[in-house]
Amino acid sequence: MKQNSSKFSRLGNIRNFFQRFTFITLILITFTIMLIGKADTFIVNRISSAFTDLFRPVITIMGVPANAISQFIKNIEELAAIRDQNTRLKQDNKTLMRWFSLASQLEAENQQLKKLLNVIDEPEAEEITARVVADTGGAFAQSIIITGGNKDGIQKGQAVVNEIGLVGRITQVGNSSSRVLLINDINSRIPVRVGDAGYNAILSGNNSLRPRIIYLGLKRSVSLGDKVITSGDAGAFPPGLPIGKVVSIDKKNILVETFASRDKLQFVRVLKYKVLTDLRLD
Amino acid sequence: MEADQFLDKLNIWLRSAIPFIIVLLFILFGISPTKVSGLVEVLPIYSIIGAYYWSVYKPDLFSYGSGFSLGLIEDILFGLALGSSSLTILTVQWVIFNQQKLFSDDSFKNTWLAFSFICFAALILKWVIISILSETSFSSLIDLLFTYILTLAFYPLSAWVFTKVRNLVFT
Repeated sequence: MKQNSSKFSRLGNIRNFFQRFTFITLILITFTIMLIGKADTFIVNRISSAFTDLFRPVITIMGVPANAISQFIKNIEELAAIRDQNTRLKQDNKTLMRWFSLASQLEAENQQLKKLLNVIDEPEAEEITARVVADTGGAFAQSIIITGGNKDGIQKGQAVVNEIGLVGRITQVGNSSSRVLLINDINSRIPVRVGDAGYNAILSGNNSLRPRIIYLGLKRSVSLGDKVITSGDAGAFPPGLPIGKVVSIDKKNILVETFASRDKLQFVRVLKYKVLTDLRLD
Repeated sequence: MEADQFLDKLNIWLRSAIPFIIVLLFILFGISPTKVSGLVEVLPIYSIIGAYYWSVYKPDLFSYGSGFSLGLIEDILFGLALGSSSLTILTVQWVIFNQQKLFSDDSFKNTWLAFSFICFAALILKWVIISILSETSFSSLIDLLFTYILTLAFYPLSAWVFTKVRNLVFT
């Protein structure tokens, strides 16, 4: 009896030792991975992209019940608001018709003036439409995974928009899927212009729904409702893409509400924008 | 005869992989685009719920290796700093394995209460690791608080599903 109990305690000790050894080994591996992740983003990105590609079909299948649930909730929300929505849409339609006629006039005038001044046009951006397959929201990161990758011509750094405005930029490209860092992610920094005066600033994500404007300059005044658009500086994004409007100003922060609503992202467009970069220094 | 042996082995292997697979499915379900306003910005952390539940109720089938792998998969899928979730889950498991008496209470209320402490510590740890590794300013504490509340709120439902699976497969 005594022999048996000592045998069990010895087995328990061996198991404990093995468990402790595994724990320490895995902790060391984790720290090594962290270091590699910091030091060599290229290899990490390649592995992460390959892994995301691998999981894409499963994520798509898992999305089917989630989509059905969200569609059901959306239908109920829409049914409740259908009358109000109809009245608002009629009003919007009237306003938009007025703006449409004004915009057509201004576009024609703009074209004529550009022709007179020999203005070189901005390069047109080609577009790829992609479906959102995963939305990795949360307190720690704000990104989405879309269909389309290397084979579709998607490249790191390209702007991603929906029908209303800028959504984010490509940060990881796999063979058949890509990751889009949303504009409200804490790592997102976008050169923007603010208001009618077009003040240069940077839109900085903070993982909340309202990213903030930084590096605006002390003497520049911004008002509530001022529009925020991409500046096109650094050639990363086409200039003039709508982003949002200023909704809060206090001593510390200027916050922007983005036009592109996160919960309505189903399809997005990736802009293959190329800036003329054939400058040569002699 | 050999085929039977193979099927038996496969059966045992699949059963032992169930905790890992079910938590992975929860993580994958979590990143499906829900398109429900307000829900997409803050998500419960299913990996912490799963790691806690299976480490408490089936520690022999949810080893450090399972926790580490799930953490790594979560980091890759969420685009987080690599290693942040692995380190968080490994720490959660280390606490549970070393204080098993504290967690091996049959009452659901007590297990949930213990989870509320573990989850709080785990989220703070993850928040600090990600902030250090990302070299950015620390993300909003309010979002972290919402994530904590949401994770706590999702625990009973997740635990109910896990218990159903546990009863179905292991009893």
